Amino acid sequence: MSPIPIGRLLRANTTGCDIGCKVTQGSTPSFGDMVRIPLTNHNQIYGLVYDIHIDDDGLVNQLATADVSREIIEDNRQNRNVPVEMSVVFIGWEDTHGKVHHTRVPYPPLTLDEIFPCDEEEVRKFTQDGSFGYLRIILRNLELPAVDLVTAHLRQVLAARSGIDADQALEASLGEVIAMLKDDYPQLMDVLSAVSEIL
Amino acid sequence: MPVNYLELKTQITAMGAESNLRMAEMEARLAQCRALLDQYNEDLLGLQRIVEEAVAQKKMLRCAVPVNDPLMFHAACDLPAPSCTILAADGSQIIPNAHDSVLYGLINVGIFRIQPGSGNVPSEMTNSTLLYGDHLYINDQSPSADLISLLRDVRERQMLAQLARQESAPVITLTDGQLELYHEPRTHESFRNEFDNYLKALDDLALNKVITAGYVSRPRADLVVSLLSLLAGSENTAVDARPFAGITDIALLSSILQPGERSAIFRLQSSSSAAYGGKKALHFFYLNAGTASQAAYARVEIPLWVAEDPTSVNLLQSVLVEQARQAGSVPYPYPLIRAHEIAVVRMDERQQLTAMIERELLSRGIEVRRQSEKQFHKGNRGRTRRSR
Amino acid sequence: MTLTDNDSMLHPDDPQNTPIGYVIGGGLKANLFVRLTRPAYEVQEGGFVVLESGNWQFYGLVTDLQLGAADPRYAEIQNRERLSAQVTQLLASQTLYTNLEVLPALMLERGPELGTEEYENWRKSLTEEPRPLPIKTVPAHHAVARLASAGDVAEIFGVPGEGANFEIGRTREQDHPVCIDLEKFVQRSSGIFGATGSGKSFLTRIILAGLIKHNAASVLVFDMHNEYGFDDTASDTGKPVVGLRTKFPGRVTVAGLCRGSQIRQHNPDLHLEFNESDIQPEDIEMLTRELNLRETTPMTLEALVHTFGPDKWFHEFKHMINGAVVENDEGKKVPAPDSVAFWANQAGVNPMAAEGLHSKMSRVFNLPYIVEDDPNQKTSVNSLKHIIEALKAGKHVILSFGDYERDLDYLLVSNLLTRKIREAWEEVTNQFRGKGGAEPRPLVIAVEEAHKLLNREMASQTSFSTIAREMRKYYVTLLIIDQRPSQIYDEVMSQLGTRVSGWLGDENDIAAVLSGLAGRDALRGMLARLQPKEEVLLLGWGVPMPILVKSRRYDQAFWDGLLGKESRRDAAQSLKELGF
Repeated sequence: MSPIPIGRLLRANTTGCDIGCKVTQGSTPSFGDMVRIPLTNHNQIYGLVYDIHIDDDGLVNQLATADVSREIIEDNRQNRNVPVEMSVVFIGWEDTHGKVHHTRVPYPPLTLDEIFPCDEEEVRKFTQDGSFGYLRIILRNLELPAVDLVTAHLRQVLAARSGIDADQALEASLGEVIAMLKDDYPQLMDVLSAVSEIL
Repeated sequence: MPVNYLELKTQITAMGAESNLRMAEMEARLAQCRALLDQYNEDLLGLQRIVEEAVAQKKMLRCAVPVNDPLMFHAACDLPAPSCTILAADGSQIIPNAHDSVLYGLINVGIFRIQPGSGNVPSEMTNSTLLYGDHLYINDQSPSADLISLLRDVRERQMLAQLARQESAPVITLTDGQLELYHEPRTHESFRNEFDNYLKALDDLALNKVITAGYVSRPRADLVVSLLSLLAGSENTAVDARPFAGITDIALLSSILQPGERSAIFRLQSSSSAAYGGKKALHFFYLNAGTASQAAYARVEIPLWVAEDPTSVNLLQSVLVEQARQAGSVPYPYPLIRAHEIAVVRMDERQQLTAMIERELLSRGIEVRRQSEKQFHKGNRGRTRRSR
Repeated sequence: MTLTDNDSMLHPDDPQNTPIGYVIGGGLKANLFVRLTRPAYEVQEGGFVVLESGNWQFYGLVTDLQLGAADPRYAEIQNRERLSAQVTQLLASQTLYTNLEVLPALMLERGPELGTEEYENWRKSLTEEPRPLPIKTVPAHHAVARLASAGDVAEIFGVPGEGANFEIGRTREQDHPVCIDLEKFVQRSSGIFGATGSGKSFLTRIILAGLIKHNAASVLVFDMHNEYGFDDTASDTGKPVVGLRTKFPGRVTVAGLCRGSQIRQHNPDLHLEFNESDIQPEDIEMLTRELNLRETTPMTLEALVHTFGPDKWFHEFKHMINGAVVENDEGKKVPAPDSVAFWANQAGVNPMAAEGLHSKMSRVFNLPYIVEDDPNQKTSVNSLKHIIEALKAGKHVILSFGDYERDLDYLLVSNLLTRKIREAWEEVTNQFRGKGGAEPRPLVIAVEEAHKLLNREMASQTSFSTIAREMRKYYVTLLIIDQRPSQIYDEVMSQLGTRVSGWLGDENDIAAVLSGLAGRDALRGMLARLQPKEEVLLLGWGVPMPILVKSRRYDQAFWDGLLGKESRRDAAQSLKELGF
């Protein structure tokens, strides 16, 4: 999988990081996508993109006032690296033995060479043990768009599986969500109705 | 220490008062210039002779020399511009800093290629050169910013020449700033060598009949005014007197140049003229690349091989006007905007590069200096902590 | 039955071991609560459940099912419009639940895991085989709950056919046989209750058949409506109902009241008559309400006994003439010597009271089954004696009242006969205990419409209450069959060992059946929700724990099971084989 080109690591701690990067329209990660960040000691951090912020682009603002040519339009679409700032919340990590942990990462990335969007196999591997306890990280954090993030993430998880496997994953994940939120009726119903739309 | 606003207030008041006086003075001088412009509009030979005589007295004389067009000549352009290939180049650099943890320099050149009207997607490329080792020392000292700027300029033209060879005519190459690199003498061998490389690149461009131009936006030059200065005053007035100081060429010509129009083509008389010999002889014209609502004046420097070809000049003018107007509210040629964007090295990129070099050195057992105390404290300001 | 090693651990793959839930709370006083993990329709009120906790098993009865929700909104708001079907189902499974309320009754130590060293050590430490004990503690939180398996039911209620175990029905959920121990059943008085039409008579037939077959006691049935002796027809279905005499021809005697009577067009085996000398004042006093006797009656009766003696007072009083007068010497009308008033004056009894009594007793005087003593038959066969002797000898008697279905007949005859039986059994028991005679044959007296004989008012006057309170010491117990248990003297009800109850609708009747029993509040609703003719609740001292069963059908399959295929022979064949 091709890495997302990285510009800079802006801020990082053990719960997440903010990344400034330049991406083209086609390679921009989507909200809720799972990404992985290899660390120098061969561990990997897994996270979900929960915010994608596109910085003000002075040139685009300027071009908007003119009647630009087709070539310039295409140039902006395909060539100009959009300065994107992504926020990623960490949901787990993989140790050097390849074992996946759904706990807080032991240390944040210190430098950032590459960040990869996870492919279906990696998504399956992260969720293979059928436990979705890491969803608590999303659901308990009031500053995250929990409803939309969980929905987008589950969409990706289900797309990575098929048939009975997908049903089991859905049951396990929603079971976790319900167990966590059953005392918060409004939020639980928001999550479930959002998830229902993608089924 | 904060600024002493109280102390400055008085001075600002004085400045305001002087500005009023100065404005009146400038108005008077401008009127005189216009009168001379009008008076000598057609006297091209006479003006050329006056310049020759002045140069004999003062080698450092820097002014415009009329060629074939009357002084007040102005011409519109054809739009849309004819098909062509535009290659725009810009460069940026990292100057080695003794206060950093590692000593290195960088030259980063960005190239933008566009074929207006073709429907093809423009392309871009970047060329990055790391300066280290012997490159970092001239006379056992760190290289000057001037030298690194020269290296950058040379690299820009070399890249353009290299890429232009692969294109079909007509090809226009653009750079931001003058074609004349500098007009102060540089005696060190390094400067000499690089300047030669620059001239070779220009020769390359000439050979391939590439329409080469340097685009200077918001020009402050007074080359035409300097020419008119030679006409003002008596024979006893010193050649280097400046009766119209403060008047720029644009102030003089702005009333003449309508949106999309160019001025007459002038030859550049300067101390470095000799260096740009033959087909490389530097010429220029003024251009209003803006619109009726927003003027955008520029000085476009071109070599002789372009200046003497009306077709090339017309194509160049049309392309510049068309591309400048593409930029919308602030007319400036779009290819140069993009070339600059491609070339620029931001602070975070510099930090990333520094970190990469540090890791490489450390992996080889080479101790990396820590930042100087001065640099450390500079860099400490404004750091934020991630709250989530 | 004791726990064996094979029974201590059911095979883990046995579908009977499927958990239905887990314990979430409760206690000994307030019952236990089990969170159901199966659909609610799989468990019903009255279900027999087992809770496994550590080394112990707890046995209990489901007494209530309650719907609950993690938040009321999950229950109140349907989300089918808003959520997909799959999500709706997942949400429901986690936020909506059903809790069982379980009445715990017994606990049994089964020890550590079978096959482990701990188990072996535990076995060695035992001084006797573990057996079910009344519950003393509670299972732990999250103890697994499951429906009782065949082994569990057999562990508690016994294996059918083994010893004195008699299958009375089956568990509703899984159709395991539930037994009552007939030996224990006859040790105390018991009751069969249920509203009219709830299947009481069929249940009585089944239990009587079991008693007769098992022969642990003799049975005397007061068959007020002629249902049990000869074949009958079910009033609701119109189908034939086989009689006990048909199935037990040599062992069951049907007695008809009064000479010449017929029972359902059959001639009874004997006709019961009473001698006038059998009637005692208490027999008449018992009829106070029936005959509308006055408070002077006891005094009058005492005077009669005093005058004529206990054997003759009835005869003499009967032949007195009410209101007979003669003229005396002075021409005044005076009571004739054979008049009631004459005697009353003589005895110092108020003549009007005596005459009133005589008048009211005319209904008794006219009873055809009370006959004059035959002075010549000192050793004559007395049908009453015949019945008593038959019972002593181990035979079973069904006294059918034939056409004598009035309360007067029922009260008088039942009480009279029971008094005689009581006297006879007391004598034998005293002989047995004092002089080493033979142990008395246990006797069960089955009494229908028991509230007529055992209500508070009558309780002190009839022999039945005495039997109910005391006579188990003398090997006589009652089998009360009634639809209005609330009218039975509560002191009598409290003496009942086994209570078998069908559907009851009246709150007072329900309370009466449950009186004196632990957990009665929990069982109250269950009685009102029993399926008539299908389900009964067993409770009381005579059963290890309350349990709801599907009652057996009184049909050919029942008789095949009880008597084998030979039961298909009819009565005529049986008599023929017996030489009749």
